[in-house]
Amino acid sequence: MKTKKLVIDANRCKGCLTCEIMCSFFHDQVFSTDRARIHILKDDEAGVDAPIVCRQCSKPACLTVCPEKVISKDSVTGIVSVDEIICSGCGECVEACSYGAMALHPDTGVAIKCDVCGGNPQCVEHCPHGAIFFAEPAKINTIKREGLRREIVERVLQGRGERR
Amino acid sequence: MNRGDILRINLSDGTVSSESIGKELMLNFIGGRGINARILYYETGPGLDPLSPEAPLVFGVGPLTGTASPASGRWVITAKSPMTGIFGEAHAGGYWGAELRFAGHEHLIITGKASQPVYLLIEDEKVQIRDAGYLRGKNVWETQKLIREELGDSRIQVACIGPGGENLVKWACVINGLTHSAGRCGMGAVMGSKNLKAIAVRGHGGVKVAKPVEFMNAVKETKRIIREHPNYKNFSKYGTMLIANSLYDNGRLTFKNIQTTRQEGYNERLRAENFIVHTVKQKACFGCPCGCGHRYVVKEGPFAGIAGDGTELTTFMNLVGVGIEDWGAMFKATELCNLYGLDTASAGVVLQGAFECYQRGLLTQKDTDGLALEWGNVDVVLELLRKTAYREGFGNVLAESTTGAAKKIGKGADRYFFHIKGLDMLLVMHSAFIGSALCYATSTRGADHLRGLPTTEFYVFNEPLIKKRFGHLDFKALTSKYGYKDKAPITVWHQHFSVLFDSLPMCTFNGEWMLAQGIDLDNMADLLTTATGIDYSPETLMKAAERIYNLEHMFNVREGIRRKDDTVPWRYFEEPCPDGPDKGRLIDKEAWEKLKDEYYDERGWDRETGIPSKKKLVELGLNDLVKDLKSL
Repeated sequence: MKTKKLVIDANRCKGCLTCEIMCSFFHDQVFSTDRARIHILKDDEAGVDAPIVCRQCSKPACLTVCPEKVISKDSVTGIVSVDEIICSGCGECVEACSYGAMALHPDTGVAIKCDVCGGNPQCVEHCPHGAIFFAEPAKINTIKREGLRREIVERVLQGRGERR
Repeated sequence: MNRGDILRINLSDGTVSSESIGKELMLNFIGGRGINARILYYETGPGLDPLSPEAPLVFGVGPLTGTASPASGRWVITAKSPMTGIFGEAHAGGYWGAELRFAGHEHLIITGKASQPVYLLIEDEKVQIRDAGYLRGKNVWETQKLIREELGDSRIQVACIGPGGENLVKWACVINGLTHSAGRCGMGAVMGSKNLKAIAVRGHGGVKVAKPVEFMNAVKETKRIIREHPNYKNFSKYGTMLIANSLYDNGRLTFKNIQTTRQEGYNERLRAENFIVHTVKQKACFGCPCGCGHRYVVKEGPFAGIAGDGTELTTFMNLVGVGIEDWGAMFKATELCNLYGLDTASAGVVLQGAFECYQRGLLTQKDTDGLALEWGNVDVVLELLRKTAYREGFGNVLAESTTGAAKKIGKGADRYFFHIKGLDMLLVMHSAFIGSALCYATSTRGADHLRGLPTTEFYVFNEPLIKKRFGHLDFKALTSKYGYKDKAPITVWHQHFSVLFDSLPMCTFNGEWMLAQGIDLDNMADLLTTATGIDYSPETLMKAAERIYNLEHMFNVREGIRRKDDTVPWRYFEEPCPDGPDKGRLIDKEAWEKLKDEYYDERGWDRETGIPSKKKLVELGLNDLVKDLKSL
């Protein structure tokens, strides 16, 4: 089995937060942006919506710093996961992650992160705007290029003053 | 399901209390618009001054807010309108509503008046009345930014007023985000009268549904219907502006205060295709599968460099009529309205009224602070928006909205400020689309295109669905824009259908406009039943909608609204449509009055007065209102 990763095309994100509430619904059976493991960084004035989610790093800082060794990386799928039963909620991992992808659960206090919903990520399943994909490394490149291609086409057309 | 509560806040004495939403309220009034209307009716009496401290300002979301139900990010404000003196209501999208629900609340009832400018911070169950001295005079965008900075959390959602609301401009609105405006009926002035600058909300909780698996099935089915709608892709890409194209092509869009339906160069400059050239990114409200919003950047011309969200159809339609022909200027006018917290729809109507008065010599430069109100003069438009927000000079006249401005100008100016029951109307040609005219005339908040236009009259319709729903009516009549036949029952049905979308809530654009041709009462009943655990059926929903509609209407009856007020402006009866596909047409006065008879019959209201019968009120379970009939 190849390692699949979540890939985000931020240009397509419209900021609707569907990913966040579907994430919390899968994990906690509640629609709640505060309990989501994916997060859209928003800036209304600047008109920016930037989704952030765990990158399942090859050398995860969260795993390295965890004093209790409750974070592990699956050697087959590459998914980094927290043993939420033993985690004490010290928050070291939250500090260590440069992507802001780690959080402490508001109710249980333990570390939570994206676990790709066991292989069927709900953010991908429910994103209405096609802004997030779950793909094998070989396909990631195609998705990135496709996003870039659309962006370039738009710029070129705008430069020419053509209607889209 | 964990329903939110009703939070009561008195700004005079700072007291806060909360009560739960009882099952009776949920079943009979659903949520959102329905429960808001129920609260307003019961907590006010006739003759109340809308800007007095006692007047309640009610905010509401609904049972589906904050859930995965599509386009459920709507929120609604209800209050007695300072603009119309009758039932007032305004809706907005964005993220404020969902955040309120995450904080555990569904309705806010705000009464009283703070002695100093304040803002409310609602964080879960905690409510603080905070000093807003530093926000006084700040525009909408600054206010939102400053509150977020003060509290250090960009996820705080702010609904606030700008200088317009602070200066009690009758068409001031309440805005969340850059542009999500609860625009109509002057709700911003009500907020301003309470010295309430903003309501900041942050919810750390969540929404649970009663039957999660079944609920998600209902959500999937509803989203499927939205996605498979023939117009979904274009609605998503062009947004509400797509409709402007067909309005222009069908001679419905008007210019110069309904004096013409044609505009030179329109097709070259103003079509939706020209609009999206300025788009750099698309935006969506909370949980919306359509995402009709646009982030624009103006790259050239005198307004190069301005950026923001918008523009939407109503804004465009009313401003294009003043003669704005350039997208840069259109965006600039929209931006100013949003910064000052003014309703863009009202802006266009009030301005067009004043411009026609100027055209006809009822106004001269002596009255307008030296400004030449000539059609298409962008600088004058922008300057008048500023003057209005600060009630400066001639702006103080315009700030009084259509009826108030006409009164101040005098000399018969009321002929040129178009409104129904005091609410300025979207300036469209009504010589055709008779059902739509009836909807405008009878809407409970005054002139209204968002509360039950019979979609069968429009260009895209789903024939099998119409035949299934309205098998007992004449299909040909329903889909004819010129006809009067069967327009009463179809209008009543759509008015109720739109009550439901507003009460669930679900966005009108995803809902009524697009999906009256797709989504059905069964979908709504499924969503509500599985979310709340209370049994709703298509029949109980339609009954609830009728109940809500009658309650809103009774509010107006209590204020003296009668049959004579259910009308459209004189121009549609007296001046034949000047050009375009419907050239030469008028609304036939006799047929129109007969249509109104049919409408009142259909509703169980008295033909002479338009007052609901005692029998109808009892049938709807509105027994409490019968005593109000007696005191009329």
